[in-house]
Amino acid sequence: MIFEFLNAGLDVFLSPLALGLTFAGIIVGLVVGAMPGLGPLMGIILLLPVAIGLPPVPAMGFLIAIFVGGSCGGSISAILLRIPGTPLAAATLFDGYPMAQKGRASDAIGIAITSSAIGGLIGGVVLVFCAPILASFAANFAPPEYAMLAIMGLFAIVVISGGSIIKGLLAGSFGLLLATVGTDSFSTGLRFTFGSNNLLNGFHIVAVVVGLFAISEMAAQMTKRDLLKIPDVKVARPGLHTIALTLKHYVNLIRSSAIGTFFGAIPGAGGVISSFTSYAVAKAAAKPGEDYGNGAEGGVVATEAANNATVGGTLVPTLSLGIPGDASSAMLLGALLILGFIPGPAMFENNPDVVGGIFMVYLASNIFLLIAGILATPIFVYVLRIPKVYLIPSILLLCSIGTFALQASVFDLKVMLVFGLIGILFRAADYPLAPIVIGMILGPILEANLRRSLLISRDGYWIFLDRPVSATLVIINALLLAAMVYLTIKRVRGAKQSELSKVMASDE
Amino acid sequence: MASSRTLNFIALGFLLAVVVTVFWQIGTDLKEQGIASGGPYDNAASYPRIIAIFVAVLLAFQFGIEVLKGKAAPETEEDQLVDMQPSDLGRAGMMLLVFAIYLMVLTTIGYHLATAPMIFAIMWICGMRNIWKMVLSSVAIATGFAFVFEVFLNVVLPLGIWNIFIPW
Repeated sequence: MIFEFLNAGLDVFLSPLALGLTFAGIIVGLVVGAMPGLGPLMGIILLLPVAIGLPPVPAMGFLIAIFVGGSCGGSISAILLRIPGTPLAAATLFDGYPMAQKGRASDAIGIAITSSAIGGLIGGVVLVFCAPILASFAANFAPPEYAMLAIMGLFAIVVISGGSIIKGLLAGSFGLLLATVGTDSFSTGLRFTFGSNNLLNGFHIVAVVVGLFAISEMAAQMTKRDLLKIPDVKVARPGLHTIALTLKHYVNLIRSSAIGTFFGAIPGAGGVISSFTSYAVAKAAAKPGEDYGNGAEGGVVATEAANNATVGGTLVPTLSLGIPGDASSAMLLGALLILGFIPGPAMFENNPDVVGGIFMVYLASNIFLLIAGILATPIFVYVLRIPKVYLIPSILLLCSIGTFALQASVFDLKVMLVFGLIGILFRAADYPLAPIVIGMILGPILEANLRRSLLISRDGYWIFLDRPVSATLVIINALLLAAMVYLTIKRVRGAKQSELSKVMASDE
Repeated sequence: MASSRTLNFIALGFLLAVVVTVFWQIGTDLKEQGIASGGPYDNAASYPRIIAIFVAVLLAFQFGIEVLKGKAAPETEEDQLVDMQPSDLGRAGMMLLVFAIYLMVLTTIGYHLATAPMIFAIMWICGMRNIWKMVLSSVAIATGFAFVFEVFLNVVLPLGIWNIFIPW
């Protein structure tokens, strides 16, 4: 079964367009990953309008490669500048920067790239084997199971991703409400359109996401005072010998990749948790001579292998169940929906070439990462020297052209700007933005399956408890809800105590 | 300058406005269309109503938390956005204003006339003052993006009322 998918995907993948765009995606991903403030999610968002005009496998190849390259690119700025390009690379600077300080910047970057590529490939093997199995298990799922899965995806992301639970839930629910705008697919009635024809199909997800993330990020960058500064970065040239250096740490490599893949498959856990966990495990298991925190090669291996393996893990529930693991995979899921494919068991049955093509582009993008990363690192180092004064207007321009290109609509540009302002408000008030996107993507799945469940049910909402898998998911959701209540009470008490001790200290 | 607590209340107010809008639309527009009641097939209001009620409950909790926080520790100078100077926020505000004007005039005067001045203005706001460098780089960025989108991706950028385009 697994090889059938790969075989079907091979034909679609072996085209100059798919191969070329996968390679281009890696370059773009490494660049956006290396630039502090951008990262893989922003790369996917900015180039989504370009991708959705392409055939499915080249489009997904381009976006997945940006995800893969972006997850690794953050290590370059972490090692050279002590500024992680993305939060995924935050743990890389513990040992990567000290290595650079000791004159081993090229080795550190080479090890980071090699570990990322190997970690990604290990995650890919898990993806290729597990996704079809999970999809065939989910083939028996009916609307009640899908409705509960959608709720579970949203809850899990809110619980695990940290921050205020209530704010996360509010953001996710706001996304669910946004998804209801437009024509109702059941009654064909119009909801929240305010008489505007532009809203008949609801808000275009790309316009919303570009506004929320990219415009608000550019506004945040404008408040900084280093807009004209040219970062002082020395050129690093990693060689092929770094592959051998990385392979010396094979136990660490396999263990960290396994941790990364595991956390990737859990919605909400993501690369940051996996890279810190694998770093902690590697440090605990280190031999006496390895000086973690002062330039140990193993530290870079652990974090980078884990955060790129996460990409493979996160694609497992995204492709087989249609439940995204994080905001980046939610955007990939959104891209698949725009391209006309509904991720889940039906896609594995009806479009094995697309599923196989996605497997192939994911595996290939990790191989391309190794080649491009080792050979083209000096180019990414030069990119790091571009001052923000050029980057900010360029990104704003890319946002506006990309959003306009979706359907040649000025209305989409206005939507983008309005959501940019909402994004600024939410960021300033410390609301997470990722649950909005996930809510918007899961919203239609949740509503359609909830209403279908009630249509086929003879006992109303009891249908969710009548079926064993659905009942299990209800219990998991109830446990997640209980965890949310517990964590909220604990955090409020903690915050109150710290505020009180602050007041008492100031009184003294 | 707005404190983090004030911003939290503004965000709560915004979400409350969303909830009110949902109930107002259900009570008026959806009711008139006949899709605010009935079974799961016809009742298009039931799902947004459930979500809106859920949001309203969460808003009440969050409001309570904010009020409790306020009572436990009155607002201090530390609650202000300490790292930000008014000039920093001013730059972001100016950028948004320039970008909003750009989006408004884009379809009227066209991509090629609107884009380079927008880039130039943002560079000026960023603090760049080398006029020739700014002119050259804004024209180069605008033309470069137009080339990529029009030639490689077949996107027709807004031509404006004067139908300005570059025959690549």
